[in-house]
Amino acid sequence: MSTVVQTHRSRDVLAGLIFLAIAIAFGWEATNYELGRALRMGAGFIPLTLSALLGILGAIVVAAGLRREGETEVGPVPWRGILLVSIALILFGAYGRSLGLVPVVFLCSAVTALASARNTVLSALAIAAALSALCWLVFKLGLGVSLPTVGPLFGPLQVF
Amino acid sequence: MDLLSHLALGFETAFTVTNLLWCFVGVLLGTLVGVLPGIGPTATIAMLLPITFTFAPVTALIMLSGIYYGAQYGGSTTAILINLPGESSSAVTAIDGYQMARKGRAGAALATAALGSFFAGSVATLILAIAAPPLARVALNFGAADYFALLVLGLLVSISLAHGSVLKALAMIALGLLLGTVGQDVTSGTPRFTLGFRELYGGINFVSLAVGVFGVAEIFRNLENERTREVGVSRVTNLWLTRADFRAIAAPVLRGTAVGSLLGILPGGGHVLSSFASYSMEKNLAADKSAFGHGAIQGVAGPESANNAAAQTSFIPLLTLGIPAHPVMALIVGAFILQGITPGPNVINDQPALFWGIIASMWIGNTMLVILNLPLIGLWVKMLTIPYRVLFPAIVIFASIGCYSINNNPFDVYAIAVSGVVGYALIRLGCEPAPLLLGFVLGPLLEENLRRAMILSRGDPLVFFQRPISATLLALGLICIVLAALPSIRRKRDTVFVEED
Repeated sequence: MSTVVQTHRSRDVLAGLIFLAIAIAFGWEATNYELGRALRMGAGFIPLTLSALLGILGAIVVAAGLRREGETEVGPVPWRGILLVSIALILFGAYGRSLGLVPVVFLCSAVTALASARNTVLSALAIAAALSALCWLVFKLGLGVSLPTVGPLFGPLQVF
Repeated sequence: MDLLSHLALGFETAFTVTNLLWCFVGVLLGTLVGVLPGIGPTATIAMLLPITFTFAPVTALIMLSGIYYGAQYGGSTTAILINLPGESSSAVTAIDGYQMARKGRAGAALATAALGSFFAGSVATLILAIAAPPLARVALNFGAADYFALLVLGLLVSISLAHGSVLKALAMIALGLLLGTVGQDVTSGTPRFTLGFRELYGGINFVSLAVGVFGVAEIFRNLENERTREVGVSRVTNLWLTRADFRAIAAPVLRGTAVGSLLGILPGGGHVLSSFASYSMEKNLAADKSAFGHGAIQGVAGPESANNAAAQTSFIPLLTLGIPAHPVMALIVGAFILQGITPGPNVINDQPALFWGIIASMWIGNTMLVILNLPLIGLWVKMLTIPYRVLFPAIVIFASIGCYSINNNPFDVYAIAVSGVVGYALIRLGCEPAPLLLGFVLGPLLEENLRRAMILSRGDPLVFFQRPISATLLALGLICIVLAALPSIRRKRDTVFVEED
């Protein structure tokens, strides 16, 4: 089992910076909305307050993190897994309707399965085939989802 | 007797063929995901939520609740047989349960877990039935300021129960609240943080967020280091307990039920905390402490009863106040809202059949679970041999289909990917996802009640300290934060939450 060392300092500082960045982005945008008064708060009041709160908390996390010692061992970041799973989800969203349920499930499960280093191309295709059959049974036959079985992209082969 | 007539109504509702069937499906699925490590009830309920849209409200809620308490049963099987918590709340069961299994007493450990859970689940459901109506009556007197204070208290309590840094948990809540403001403002209609996308006017899809941070982020974590699971015990025999066993577990089961029922009401993951609390209680009370860690049957009986009792009583804040105690309950709120019902004190009066039907179904479900878990144990052992590399593509695909079919909106599927990646990054940096989700769900409620309270008080912020209910609730919240930040309690929390989902 491979591990990488993560210092508590870098972990906390990074987490705090992420909070700070999000707070600044939201706070910036929130200034465009009407602030209102305490009696009748506008659309921007709560978002601005929350952004400020998040920003303050983020800054404290960074400050406290700078003084922390120690480290933990964690697993390596699964870049390949993150990339492939994200691609699969985006493919599903973008082409789900035009491809249809069965083709999109086949495509996306094959891509997702390859996220694991333990799956070969062959086993990924087998998993994809099995899941396509299962999803068709459960979601189309059983629950009747609105996605077509085979989408309009296949022209005359389309199946509803 | 009011209670009896209510329960009669409940059983009448729950005993229809449709409801019995879906209750069974719910507890079956719950057991399944409980048994399988790497997928929990949160992700499962999130995935199935859209599908229940076509059901009658009572059927949908019966099934979704079944998944949740069913998972508490299933988790113990994995803990006992392969020393891995199938569910975070069964992490302590693994300590003594696995040792019992190694000594050839797997059957006894499984029977203890199932019977203890059954007893605790039934008693806690009764507590729920008795306590909910009066609490709901109290809640009807709550004003906007009191609700605001209650929501703040709920969020703060959830921090003191989360593990890890209090600061980061606070920041995660703030982030969740902020994400909750995305979408059209209810009062003025101004679109907020939509970046010009029409799809975001309704806000970030809650199901996508839940599936992302609890399902997909968990997959990324499991992909860090892939291991093969070893099933140590392939055949389980002798599921009967001896008379001596029964005597040994009676007291721990009772104590576990009491602890669990109490802690389950608290926001923030009472079922996890309660099993740890029960374990340390049994260890302290035991005459022979050395047996713990080497297969003490009390160490299985107590925690397993506690987590199941907590699973049932965590419905109390939801059904009486409309406030979810933890992410799973937040999803159940989502289910109520999808069905067009606002959860809260009114449900019990406006929809008595729904309310009592859910409660009655819990007894039915618990009975089904004992039957599912003991005689069918061989089936669950087989399930454990499904490798993870087959399992996670199924999770991703089911999640995509589920989220897509809520609104037929591709945006909801993209949102899974974004929340999965961001969630994974934050989890890896030591931030807990549960407070984020809780903040996200409670955010809109919090904002609405704050604005309403301010209008009612003519803009005087002191109203929160002048009303006795809200002042008390806010003071309690402050105490929680102070306690959680105290060094001695922080150390305790660190040791308690050794294993979490």
